[in-house]
Amino acid sequence: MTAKKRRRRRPATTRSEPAAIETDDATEVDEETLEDGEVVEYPPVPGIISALRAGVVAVTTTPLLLAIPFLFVFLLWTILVLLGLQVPPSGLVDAMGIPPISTVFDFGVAQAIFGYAPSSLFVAFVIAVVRAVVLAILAGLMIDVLEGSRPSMYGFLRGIRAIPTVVAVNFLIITATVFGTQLFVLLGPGLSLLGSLAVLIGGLYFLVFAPASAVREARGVQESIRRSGRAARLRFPGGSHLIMVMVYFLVGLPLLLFAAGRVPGGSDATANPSVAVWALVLVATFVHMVFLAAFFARFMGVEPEIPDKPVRRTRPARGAQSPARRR
Amino acid sequence: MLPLFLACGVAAAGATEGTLPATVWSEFQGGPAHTGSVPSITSAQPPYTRAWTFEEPDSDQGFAAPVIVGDVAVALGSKAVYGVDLSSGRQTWRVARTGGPITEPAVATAGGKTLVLYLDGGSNQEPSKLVAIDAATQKELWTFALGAASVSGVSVDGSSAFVGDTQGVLYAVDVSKGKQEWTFKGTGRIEAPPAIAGGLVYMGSRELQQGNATVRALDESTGTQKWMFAQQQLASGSAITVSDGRAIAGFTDRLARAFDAATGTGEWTALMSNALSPRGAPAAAAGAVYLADLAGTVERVSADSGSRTWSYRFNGVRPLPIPYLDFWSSPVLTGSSVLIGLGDGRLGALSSSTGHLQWEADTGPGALGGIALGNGIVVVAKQGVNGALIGFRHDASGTLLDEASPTELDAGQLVGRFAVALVLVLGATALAGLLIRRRDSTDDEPIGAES
Repeated sequence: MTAKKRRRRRPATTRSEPAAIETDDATEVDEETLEDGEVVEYPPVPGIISALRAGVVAVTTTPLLLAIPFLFVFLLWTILVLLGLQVPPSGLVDAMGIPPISTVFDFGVAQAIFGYAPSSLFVAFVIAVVRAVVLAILAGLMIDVLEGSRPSMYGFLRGIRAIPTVVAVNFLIITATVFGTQLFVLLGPGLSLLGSLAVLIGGLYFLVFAPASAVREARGVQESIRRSGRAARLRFPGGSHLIMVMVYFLVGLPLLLFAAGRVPGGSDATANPSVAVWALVLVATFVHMVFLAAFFARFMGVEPEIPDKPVRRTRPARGAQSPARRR
Repeated sequence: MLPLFLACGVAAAGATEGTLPATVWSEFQGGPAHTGSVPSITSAQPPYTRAWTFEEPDSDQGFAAPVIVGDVAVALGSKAVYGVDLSSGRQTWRVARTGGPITEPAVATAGGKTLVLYLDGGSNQEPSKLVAIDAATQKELWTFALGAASVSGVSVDGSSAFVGDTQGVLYAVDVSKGKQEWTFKGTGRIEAPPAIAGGLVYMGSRELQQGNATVRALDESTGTQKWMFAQQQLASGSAITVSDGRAIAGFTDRLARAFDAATGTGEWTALMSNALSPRGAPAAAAGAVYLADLAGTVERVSADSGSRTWSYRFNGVRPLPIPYLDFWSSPVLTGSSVLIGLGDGRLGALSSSTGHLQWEADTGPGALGGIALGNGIVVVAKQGVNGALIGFRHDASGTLLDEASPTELDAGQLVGRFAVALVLVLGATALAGLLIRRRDSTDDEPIGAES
């Protein structure tokens, strides 16, 4: 394996309640001795359930990881209403989703305010950029927690460093969505819907690790995105990356939107959502943060296995284990 | 029944050809320009009480927008045309029709008589015909055969009636003789009554296959096209209203567009929350334009610039099977109020100055369609299985509301509700975190930490 293992620049401070994870099937710890004799330790790769559990622990034990997105959602709604938004607030459940789940919200509100004009595309991009800044900072703080530390200025600065990568991810997703929509329209209504879903799921699948890569490895925009894509194609124990992406996609879009439409007041256009709607929106935001932390936990586990160059993925012989499983 | 005939006769007695009696809501949205107001009518102001209900006796489809001649409301059902006494809501006459789409009739005068013009036939794409009856005697005066089915309803201006068909042909018919004056062959289907003002006839059409919406202005006397607006992927436009030198229509891209009525030059656009119904039209008066969309939003915009003055959102409008049928009603102006019927059977009155809800009543299941104003009464058409004409009159003992749109920001309410939800959710997550930590074993290893 040619994976490049990087030494952390700042030792983690062990907390009394670390956001540690249990693994489904791998318990041994990967270890590497560097040339200077220092030992770097990598945890086993968590399965989906373990990763989600780590996400829940990280988010519930760190109020800052909830306070920031909650405040962001509230401020975003207020600003959009002041700009003239007049829609049911149910879409807010995805306002803090992981791109491209949140991109659906961005396009929806931008078109609601500005119609099918180029300005709505611009507004969708502005919203995405602002969220990207928030997500990048959250990523820095969240990885602090997943590494066993408290959220720190170090994590905040790592998050700031990741902003260009997260903005680039949003730009890629918006571009793919816009061009994909135009292209898929030519295929007819049924295929158009499938094509749009493919763009959303594909974007999530390949780009979801990019913020974590930017925070942890500081390799720049292009390399962080590339490594996210390569990490996505690795074999994960305890459920593949695609399964986790599909689970998040189904929870993030149809399930949350369905629930939001059925909460009292959820389907009524209003500037002042009811307590029930706000409660669901905050719970949905919590869910998004848990998934974000879970994806990051999976990335951190698989990080040493990410190849530096693209590799052709071949089907392993029957009985053979993936590198991640062997560890 | 005789006194009613006499009343109609008296109303029409002073009318020469092309001049209607003063107290007439003569066609869709009150007159040929479709402004949704007739200054000479002193209609009832909110709050209202239901004065009467005339249930459609022959079918279960309800009525198209009624017209009012003197003391009689005239409405088209699927099996007949009905005259209903405005004070009692009782049927005063009935003229059978062979069937076909339910569309808006119109009132005209010719030879000292008041005529009711309506479309008959057109089922299964068979050609429709335009029928003229004497409003006083209900005797058929003439019929005019169209080349195709029609769903447009009838418009009248002076001595000419105008109808469009589903093949894109607009017909100008002499109301005194029932003879064709001219025809214009456009494209697509004409689905709403043409508007007439300033010597021009404005017709909208939509092409189902190409998804194009078109607005055309034709010379009223010759049928020559003066200007045209066409745009792809608009699917359809609403009925057209002409006011203050502008022709205004709404489209499925959520934009209401105002054109210079004489030249067709685009003057402004106003973005709505949803598309405007092809069966609806904007209302206009005193420098303001009132628009109602399929989502239940009513807006007042400046007639000069299209900028929004206020917006009111009626929530809970249940969708009907075909989306654009959700909002058949068009805004109508009475005094300082804007009236609108909703797809869920509610009739609402908004203050034309503030946009606040003044009054609201639920008439039960079934969409409310066109509204007509008579002296002292508001007549609303109800559609579907509970099809009826419903008369409302002023209720002196009623209470006027003053409710802002739910889409208006209330800072106290917004912050208060969010704060309560925040406390609840943060409390729940903190509790969950506490429980999880208690369950966790103490030897958990942090991810990615150095040893």
